[in-house]
Amino acid sequence: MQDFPTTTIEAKVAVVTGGASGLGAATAQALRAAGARVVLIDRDAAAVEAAASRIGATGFAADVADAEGIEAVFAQVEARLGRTALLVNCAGIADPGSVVRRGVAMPLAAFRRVVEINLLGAINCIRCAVPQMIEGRTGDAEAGVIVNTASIAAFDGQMGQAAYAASKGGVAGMVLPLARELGEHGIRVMGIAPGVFETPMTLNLAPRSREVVFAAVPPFPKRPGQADEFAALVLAIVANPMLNGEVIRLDGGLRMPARV
Amino acid sequence: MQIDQTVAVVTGAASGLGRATVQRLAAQGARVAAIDLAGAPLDALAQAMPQVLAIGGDVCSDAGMEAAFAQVRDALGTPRILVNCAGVLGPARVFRTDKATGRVMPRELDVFRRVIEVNLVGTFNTIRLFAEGLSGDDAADGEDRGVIVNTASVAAYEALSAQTAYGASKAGVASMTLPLARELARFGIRVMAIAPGTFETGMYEVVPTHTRRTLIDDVPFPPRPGRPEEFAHMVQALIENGMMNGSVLRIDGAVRMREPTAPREARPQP
Repeated sequence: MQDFPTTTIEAKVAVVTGGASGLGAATAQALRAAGARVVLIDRDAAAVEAAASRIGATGFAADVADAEGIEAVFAQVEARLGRTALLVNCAGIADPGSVVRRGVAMPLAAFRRVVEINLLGAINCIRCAVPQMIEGRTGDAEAGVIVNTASIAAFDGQMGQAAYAASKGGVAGMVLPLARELGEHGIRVMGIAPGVFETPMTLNLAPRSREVVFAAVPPFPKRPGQADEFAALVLAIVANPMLNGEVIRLDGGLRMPARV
Repeated sequence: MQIDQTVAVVTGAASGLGRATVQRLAAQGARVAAIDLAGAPLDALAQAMPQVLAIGGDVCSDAGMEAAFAQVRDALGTPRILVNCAGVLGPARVFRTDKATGRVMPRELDVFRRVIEVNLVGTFNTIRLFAEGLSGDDAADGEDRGVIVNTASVAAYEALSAQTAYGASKAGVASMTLPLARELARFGIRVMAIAPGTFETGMYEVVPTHTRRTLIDDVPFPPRPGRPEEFAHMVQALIENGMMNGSVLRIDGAVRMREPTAPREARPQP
């Protein structure tokens, strides 16, 4: 029982990127169960279609870093379902790699690709969602909530995670300026920094990288996080109107060592 | 690490923090390569400091920086100091109001992409080439073989409105400090970042007057913008102190940035 007014999810348009799998899919399902009209964006066309029909959502196949593609998706969302009120950015890739491998520098394109998807992709969806939130605002009520997925790599990145840590650090670093900028329009902006979670992103890593990631065991509980636990935090963030401009670690107390 | 006779690369070298760093390192006897976009400021630096190797180039270009590092190696030798100062502010809100229709529209993505390219991707670009040059070294004796100092910002922690891309890019620089230090340890390379507050540079000059006033009013002590020479002094301290590694240091007069206090009508409109 709540003794304060919480932000409702029922009937709101909620866009989830990376919605076809992992943290995004679990979040989409939880939002759907709470009565949201859910939109999934994912680059995998077949997977997003399947995930959408499984939970009764609308799926779009698009690359989050593609400016025009995402503009088109949000235009369709507004036309078909109404204005976006909730945005959860889960699309991301890990792609670990050494800065120098056998005496040769990492190609700059490899670093850039991680930053494009994880960081610019989130900015891209935010810039497209915000105008809909602003135009859909009633009086001085809350207009929308944005939840971004950072990572504990933003704070203690491991070897081979220069690009991933840079991109997720960027996601964490933009939460406050966005909250400051969008506050006068009634939009809250939050970040979640998950520790080690069991998702396709981590499970599909190369064997050696996967071993390293899952060898990091939190103080308690001594197991990887589950996507449903991430989704539960998203719902708690959306519901609590005082949460704003903050990045929450969701990691069982884990601090990543340099190596295992 | 000793600075005298050591080869140092500085980006964003033609003005502000970069130029002060070039001057300080050269005065300490370093053989400095100064990288910046080709143009009048770089030409002026080359003229004022003929002992410095001035190289025109874009930090975002992989081929451009590969050529620049090859030139440094040929002319001066293998660089063991890298100071990344190249950066842009590029303020922009995530939305804008269309003048004709009055509708609220998304800001163009490329506005944000450019800031992240220069500040974050550009910083990594020189790091990967610098590390490649030292990757043949054996760090077994425990002495440092190279030092990298990157420029973050207090905006990595408390960026203001319209600083989404700047704050994100600088937070990215801050966040990659630790994984880079962990990874490059095997080559004997230390990696640090400095997070300056408000400094008297060309970047600061373009900040709106009312924002500037708030920024300075909020500095507990000393109540003034930092001097580029003070940044350069810290760079030298980080290079010389062999135990400094993997962290981000604020140099800001204890400031914590808050939103400008100007009346709403004086704020930049979306």
